[in-house]
Amino acid sequence: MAYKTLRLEKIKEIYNRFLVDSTVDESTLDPNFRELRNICIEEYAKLESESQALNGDSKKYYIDLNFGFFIFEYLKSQEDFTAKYESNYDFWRYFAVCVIPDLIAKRWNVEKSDHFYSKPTAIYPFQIYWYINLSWQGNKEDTKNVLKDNLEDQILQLVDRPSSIGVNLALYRRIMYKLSLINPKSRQKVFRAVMMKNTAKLVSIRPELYEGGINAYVDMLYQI
Amino acid sequence: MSKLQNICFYPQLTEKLYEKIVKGISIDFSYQAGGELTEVNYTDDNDRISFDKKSNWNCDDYDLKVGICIELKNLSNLFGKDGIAPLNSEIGLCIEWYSAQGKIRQVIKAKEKILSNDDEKSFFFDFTLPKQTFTGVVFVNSLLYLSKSAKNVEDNEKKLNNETGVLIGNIMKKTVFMTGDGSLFPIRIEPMPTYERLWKLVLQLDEPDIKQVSEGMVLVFNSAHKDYQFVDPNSKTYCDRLADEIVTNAIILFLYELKQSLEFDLDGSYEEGTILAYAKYCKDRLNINFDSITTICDSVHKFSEKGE
Repeated sequence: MAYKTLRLEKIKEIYNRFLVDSTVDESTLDPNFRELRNICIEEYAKLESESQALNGDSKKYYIDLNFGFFIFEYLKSQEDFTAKYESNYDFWRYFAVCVIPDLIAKRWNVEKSDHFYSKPTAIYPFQIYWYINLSWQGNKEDTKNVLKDNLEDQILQLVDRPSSIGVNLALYRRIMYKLSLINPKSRQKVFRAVMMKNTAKLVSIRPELYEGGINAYVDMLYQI
Repeated sequence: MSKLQNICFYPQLTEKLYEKIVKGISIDFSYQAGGELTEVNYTDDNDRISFDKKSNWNCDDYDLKVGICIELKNLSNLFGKDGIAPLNSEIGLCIEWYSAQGKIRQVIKAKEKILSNDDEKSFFFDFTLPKQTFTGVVFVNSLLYLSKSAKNVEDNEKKLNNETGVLIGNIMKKTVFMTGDGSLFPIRIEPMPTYERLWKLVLQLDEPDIKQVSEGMVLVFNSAHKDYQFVDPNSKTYCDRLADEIVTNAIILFLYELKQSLEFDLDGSYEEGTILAYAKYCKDRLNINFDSITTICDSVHKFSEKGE
């Protein structure tokens, strides 16, 4: 699969066109991306229908979580989807604005460009892919168990914190595991405090160097 | 660069102590191709490492093997009341590499620890920066940390941090340009339709604290424009004053747009090579007054006129 990227000016132009006519010009997509678009549409429709019985917030989270798993598994199964693309906002902007803008428009306010291109960590496919990636417990079932009782706020808190010293996946995966042991009613408050404490601690400590390693470091973060 | 940049309330490696304890640091880069290990030549300009453009290595096709040797001396100076760790503690040395943009990091710890009765020690690190991972730069640091806290801390050592894992100094801080060479103002030349203007500035100023300058802005010259001959250094009619004027205006535009897009103070310390680090450099070096577009314009032009 050739991972396409477009310059921001071009992306803005396509987004603005979508705002006017709400259509996706599939003729401009490579066959791979056309296929990706089709299976995304199919999956999203399935998730929408499965979530009918749920209420507002749970419904949104159900779609975010499961659509995240879908995109994560699809891209991870592509041999050439390397770390270089995983973190490349230009690729995610292309995915959002050229491949699935109509699906994002169903989930978010189409007039707000954050989830399409303008706020990198909020670009919808990026956001839900990295939510799964940063929470991955080795397999889908265990990851689902860890994430099932969360809400949208946990996605934002986890993904919307770009680290200036790179990302240690093991650290975030452990943080998410420990969060799953917290009563869902208290999670929002506890998680925000843990993430803030982590940001503050990273100034003088590296989790990899902490006595007892990452597990002990995360235990310390949860002592609040 | 020997000090950690953040505000810190416990003693850390000072410039003076750094001079006392560092005997030498050497780095080599190589890659494996066709069963052979080939060295990659580089230049180290003020801790900014860029690779020889003639080399066949590139970060998409080959892993980059890195070898670092750090030789330390007078190590007892690190311990006790005038040092950075209590006498009975142990200090560790590690290499930390990361790419904020690539969302990846790794820490490699030296097996051997530094004890208060040590005098000289050499540390060797071998690690790999994986292919198909990076755009822009990778930061490679060597950090001193407290690997084992002291059981007893003397009264005169109370100011020292005795928490295991805490960072107490930076022995080395390199910015490695995996792509590009870190030139301060990226310029691209492309043929655009002739009705397009001679130049334009393309900005992507999101995440300015982690995004590299080369990723966040580029001055694009239109080589199809009739006046391109005046800014083409290979042309007989090249006018360096016009080229300078365009770059000056591009800097003004960049600073103004950045000012508009975020709360502005530029008083922090920013990772080298990032948009904010560049803006801070401009602010300090060009003595810019950010009150308005006019004052920015005046400050930049004043500097430009000096011809520095």
